[in-house]
Amino acid sequence: MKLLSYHIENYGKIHDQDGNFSEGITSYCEQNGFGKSTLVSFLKAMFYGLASYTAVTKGFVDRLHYYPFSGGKFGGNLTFFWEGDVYKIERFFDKKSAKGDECIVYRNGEVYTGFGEEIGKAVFGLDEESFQKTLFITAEDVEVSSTHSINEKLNSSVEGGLEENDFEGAMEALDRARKDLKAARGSGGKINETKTAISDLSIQLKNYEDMERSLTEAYISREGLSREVATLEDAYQEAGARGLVLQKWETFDRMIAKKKEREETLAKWQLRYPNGLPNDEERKELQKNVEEMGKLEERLHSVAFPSGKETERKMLESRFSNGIPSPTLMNTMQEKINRLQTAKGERERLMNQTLTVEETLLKQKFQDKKPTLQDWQEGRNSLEEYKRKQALLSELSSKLLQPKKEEKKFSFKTYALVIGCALLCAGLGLFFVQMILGIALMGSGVVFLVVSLLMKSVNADMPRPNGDFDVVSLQSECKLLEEKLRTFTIPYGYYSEGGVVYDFLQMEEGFKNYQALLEKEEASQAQVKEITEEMETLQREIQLFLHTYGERTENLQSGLQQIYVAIQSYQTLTQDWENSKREQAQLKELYQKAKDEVEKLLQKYNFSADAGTMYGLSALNRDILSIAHTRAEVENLRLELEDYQEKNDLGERPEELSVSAQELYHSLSEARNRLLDCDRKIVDTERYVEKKADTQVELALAEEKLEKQQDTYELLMDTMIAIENAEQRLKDQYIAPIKGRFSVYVQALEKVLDEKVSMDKNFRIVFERGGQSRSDRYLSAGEKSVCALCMRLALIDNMYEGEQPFILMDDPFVHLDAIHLERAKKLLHELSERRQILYFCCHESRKV
Amino acid sequence: MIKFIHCADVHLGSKMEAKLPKNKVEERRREVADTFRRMVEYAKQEGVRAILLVGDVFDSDRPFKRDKEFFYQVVKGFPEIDFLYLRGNHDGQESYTEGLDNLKLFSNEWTSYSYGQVQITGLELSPENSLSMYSTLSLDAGKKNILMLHGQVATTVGNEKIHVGKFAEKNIDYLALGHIHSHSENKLDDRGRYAYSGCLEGRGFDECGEKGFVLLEVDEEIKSTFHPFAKRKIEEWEVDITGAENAFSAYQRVKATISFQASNLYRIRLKGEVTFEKENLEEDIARYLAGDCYFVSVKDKSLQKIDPRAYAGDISLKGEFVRSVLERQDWDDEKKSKVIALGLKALAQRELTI
Repeated sequence: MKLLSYHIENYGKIHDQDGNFSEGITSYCEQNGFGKSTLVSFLKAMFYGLASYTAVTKGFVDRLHYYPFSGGKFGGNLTFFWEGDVYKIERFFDKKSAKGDECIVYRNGEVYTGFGEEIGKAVFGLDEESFQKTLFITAEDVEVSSTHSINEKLNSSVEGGLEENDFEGAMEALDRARKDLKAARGSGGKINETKTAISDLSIQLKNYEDMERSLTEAYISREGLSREVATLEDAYQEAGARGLVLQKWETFDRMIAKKKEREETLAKWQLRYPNGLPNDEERKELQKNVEEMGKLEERLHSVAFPSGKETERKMLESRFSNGIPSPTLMNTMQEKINRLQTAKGERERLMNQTLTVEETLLKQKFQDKKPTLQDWQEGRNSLEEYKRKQALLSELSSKLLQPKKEEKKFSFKTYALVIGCALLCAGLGLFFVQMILGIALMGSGVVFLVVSLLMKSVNADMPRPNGDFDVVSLQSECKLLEEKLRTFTIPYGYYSEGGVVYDFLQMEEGFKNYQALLEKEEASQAQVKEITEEMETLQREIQLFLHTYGERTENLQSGLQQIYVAIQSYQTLTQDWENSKREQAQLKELYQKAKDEVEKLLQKYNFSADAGTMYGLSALNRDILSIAHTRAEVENLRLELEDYQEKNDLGERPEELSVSAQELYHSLSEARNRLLDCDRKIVDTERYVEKKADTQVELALAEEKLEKQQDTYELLMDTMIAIENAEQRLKDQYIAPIKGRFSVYVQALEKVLDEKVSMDKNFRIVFERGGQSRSDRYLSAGEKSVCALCMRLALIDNMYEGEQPFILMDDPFVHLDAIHLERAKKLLHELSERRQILYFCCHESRKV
Repeated sequence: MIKFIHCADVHLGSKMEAKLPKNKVEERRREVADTFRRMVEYAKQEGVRAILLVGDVFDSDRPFKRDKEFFYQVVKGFPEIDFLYLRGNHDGQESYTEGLDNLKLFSNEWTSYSYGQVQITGLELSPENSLSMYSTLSLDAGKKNILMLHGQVATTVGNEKIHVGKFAEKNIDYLALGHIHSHSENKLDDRGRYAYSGCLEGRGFDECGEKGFVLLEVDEEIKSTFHPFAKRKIEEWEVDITGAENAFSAYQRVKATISFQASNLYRIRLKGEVTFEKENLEEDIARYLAGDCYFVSVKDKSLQKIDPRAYAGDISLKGEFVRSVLERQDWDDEKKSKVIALGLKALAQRELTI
């Protein structure tokens, strides 16, 4: 690789500057402030860019430091030759941030993107830090160490392959896992947590074991309590048994006391009856007589005639002071009452007798205005005349008129007249039964009559086609007669199709019937009068009878009935009164007899008169029973005492208990409660101790877990060591050549360091001095800068087998003395035969 | 014919050794008691005359009140059965103050109980009688003799040791032993044999296999039959998962190897070599098997297979690492396997879940 040229647009103090690089060494030896460091920074910036900065960024910041003093575009370009191609990197920088930077790479004049974002890494295989530790050599940076990037590059170079594994990442992961289990310091980590848990569980287990041990004491205590309870139970049973015997003695004593008390009661009874007590027979006789007396008293009381009845009897006696009416008289009165009722019925029937419809019509026709005899005579004469003229007219008419037509005309008019009359009559008849229908029929009858009359007048007015004066005259006369007759019959409702003759005859017949009806009514009224008179007579007679026996009622039949009842009551009461009197006399006699018997016995035993009563007798009987009962009780108690004494074996009375059964029971209860408490405590403790097994399991699991964690920890440690060893072995493969190259360079520069120099995997140099291994800290500044130079050269030799990169040296030999400086210069010339070196210094003495 | 049950090492109130979850620990504790009760019910159904409890009915010298009450209740509840209780090394100090007619006890002197022609004799071992018991034992040759002892069968004499050879020719027909939690039966002499009934329920992975009691039917001869009676069986299996491609594939190997019973407890040791990353393998397989059994514990003892040839030409840090580990002489294969697996994971920048 070879840098060819550069152009700086603006970078620090440099403005619009171009430069070329020669093969071998390109040396820039200028005074301070010329811009050497600026150019070095520019070259580095072309490959690696400039870091961004912010207001808080500390330390030396290239982007800030080299920002053009005079403004303008910040950057430039660099052209180099590499692996047969010419590349040009053109970069311009933003003031602060890399985001605003512009960068274009050209390969052989064409834009090339093969380097990606990290051009330095792509070209040198190193990151910026590693570049500074290898290809960039200064007098200040004398630290010799490796980087990951250097290692990768070395590894790649040595083995010829890419390292895919991240040693540091793996070690960090393992270390994290290790620390997770066990922190390097303090008590953190899962192992310690598990140990703590084990410790806690062990303490807990010890507690359980302590509690379990305490159970032994509790069991012993329980056994003691159990024995105490058993002893007390025995004592209580013993006390109970003795107490039972004493209780029996007490019962026995009570029985004796009771017997004595009963004997005293018996003695009192004997004092009360000094003459003794009647024997059973006497007592029965006394009982019988007293009871008899009681019964007789009751019977006397029951047969006594009640005062109410007596009053009633006396009232009836007063009522019938003149004697009781005979049955015959009573029957006569009853018959009269019956007759009165019958007459009353007859009269009512006669009075309420109703007329037939025909009779009613007749009465209506003739009631208001009866035709006189003269009227009848005139009517009959007119009728006769009418008949005569009508016969004559018929004769004449048969000659003049066609009978058919006449008949027809006559027939129709007649029919209308008849129908009208019939309807009128029927309407009148029905008027009293069904008023509306009657009116309707009468209306219809009137209509027919009017029609018939109109037709007649029309016929009369019509001129005869072949008229004859006689006929007309006759007809006129007939007509007049007919009207006269009608005037007579019509007011009485006689008008029909049958003609005036017929109607007249009908009226005549009706009038006859009317007269007969009037006669019948008169007869009936006469009969009513007769019956009324008879009834008045009967009424008076009956009432007089009733008044005689105290009955003032208007209802005659009821009054007679009351007399019947009073007679019967009076007879019954009188009979009862007499019977009562007779029975009382008999009972009094029996009562006196029984009383005599009782008094006789009372005197015998000197009993008070009270003893002769039912109450006294009851008291006596009670006393007798009480005495007998007391006597029996005394006897029973005597037997019971004997029996009780024998059955309960009451020989000798035991001593009283020193401690009562109750006290013993109390002690026993107390002991039982203590035993119960003890049991409860045992159960509680056992329940607690039961958890011991769980804790044991937990402890075993925790111990198992700890063992596993410790195994894992050990595994992690072993793995870390194994990886570290592998890493070392791997490094050993390339450290040896580095060390070899280092020695070559050191030999060329510094003899004293050549002996016994060793190098660790991170290229830290250790040398022996005064028999002790020492680090490079103990080297002088000059020696350090020699070591740094040799180390970088050795690394470069090993990292790049093919095309060598350029080396950038920024006044690296400041600390060398003249001898070493010469050696260094010589070495640089040798090196420049194989690679391009850009050398910057500020003093002529160090110019190469 | 008269029947007896030979039973031992019930260990009522015992803790569970299988590192079960808390709820299952309690459940198993209840099941131990329940199996004892079931056995007594079985005895009643079968017309067993007496149950020979050959030691360690309780797990502690001072059993919990609750466990004692349970035991007494069972004994009281079956008055038709005699309980011949011989204390063992775990319940040696237990004293039975409750006098129960059907609870027969023993002491540190030979004690006998007769059931017709059957004579049951027992002795609670102590340092004092551990030497003399052989000479003080005297049995009627005309009877069927059952001997009860709780201790370790040995070929020497000593405390808690039973030198069965010294009981030969002592007219023993059946020597009922307690202490060992697995059933076994062996010949004692021409006449008799000795047997451990084993415990009733396994309590940990050190008590695998069938557990139960021995039914003795005594007629002309004593016929002994072991009855597996435990509610759950504990099994331990070793499964080779070589060739498995992942955790599920390894699980399938396990399933193909073991016929799981839903009620049982399993411990599975994985062995062989696998190429896949085994991270959380134990947990994964245990999770897959959770529904197949009552409890499972998986222990991964398989190795991460590393082929040195695959790294022979690898010039990277990874290759150097694998080669350097494989060259280690002070590490066994398991250690190398684990270090390589972890190192490769770290170098591949993958998350390390520890």
